[in-house]
Amino acid sequence: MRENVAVLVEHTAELLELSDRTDPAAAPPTDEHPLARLEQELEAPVAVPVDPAVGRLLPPASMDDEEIAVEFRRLTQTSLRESKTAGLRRLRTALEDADAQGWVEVPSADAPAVAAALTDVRLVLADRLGIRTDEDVEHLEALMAVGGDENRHWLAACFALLGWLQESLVGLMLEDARAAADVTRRGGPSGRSSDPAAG
Amino acid sequence: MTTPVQEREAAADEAVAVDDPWVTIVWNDPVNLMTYVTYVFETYFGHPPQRAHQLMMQVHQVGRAVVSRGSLESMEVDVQAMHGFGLWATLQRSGQ
Repeated sequence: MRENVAVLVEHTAELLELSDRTDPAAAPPTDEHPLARLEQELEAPVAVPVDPAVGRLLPPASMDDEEIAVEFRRLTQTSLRESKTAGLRRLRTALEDADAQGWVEVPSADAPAVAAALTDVRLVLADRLGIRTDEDVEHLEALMAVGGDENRHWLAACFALLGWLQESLVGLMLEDARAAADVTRRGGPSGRSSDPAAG
Repeated sequence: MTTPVQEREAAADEAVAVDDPWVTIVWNDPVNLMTYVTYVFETYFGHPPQRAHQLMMQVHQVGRAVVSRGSLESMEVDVQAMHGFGLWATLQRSGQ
């Protein structure tokens, strides 16, 4: 099961990488000069992902202002895609390295990226399972029964398992973050100890 | 019980509209865990646990919440960060 989930995580990373295409509708760079061509390529609009699951991972930044949405995509999509892909690969490694009892260890420094990757995989699974509302998640078992094929059951089981892993990981991250914030408020070693009001 | 709070927040929206012309909105989705959304609001925006929980519940129950206000450029930074976390966020003009 664990190896198969790792493959699923890898597939999510590949989905993101495959969507890495500039808009085919945009005119190709025409200038002869290499620097001018580079400039044209950098300014070319970035394609809106066709796959709705990838579209949810890289959503539009504006509902009503197309110009803002296009500009935001041009400025951020490549770096968002790269950070998400890197996070997915860290999650994959963590799953593959789980011990015989199934304990998954995540280094503290990797935890935020791994937690975000768990969301990304679950967003893709939710799209494939047709999960649209909070009620759909509450009735996941009933949803698994619809259609009833083995593949659907497996995807739903993965969705639930990855949700449980994420809950467990984020619970620990939140405890750590709050402990660190308490230290900061008390003017501890990592806090703003110069603040006379602290402590 | 939710109505007075919403009215107060609407009034606050208008009051800051001149100084903070743009807002970042986080939308509800069926996938993100309540714990995770709280974690993001506490660690990225630096909200105390109670405020982060309140904002998370607003997203969950009302369907959306304004999580930050400021210039277009600073809202683009916040929206990009939210997308990095896997949250569904958009920016728009304040008071819309």
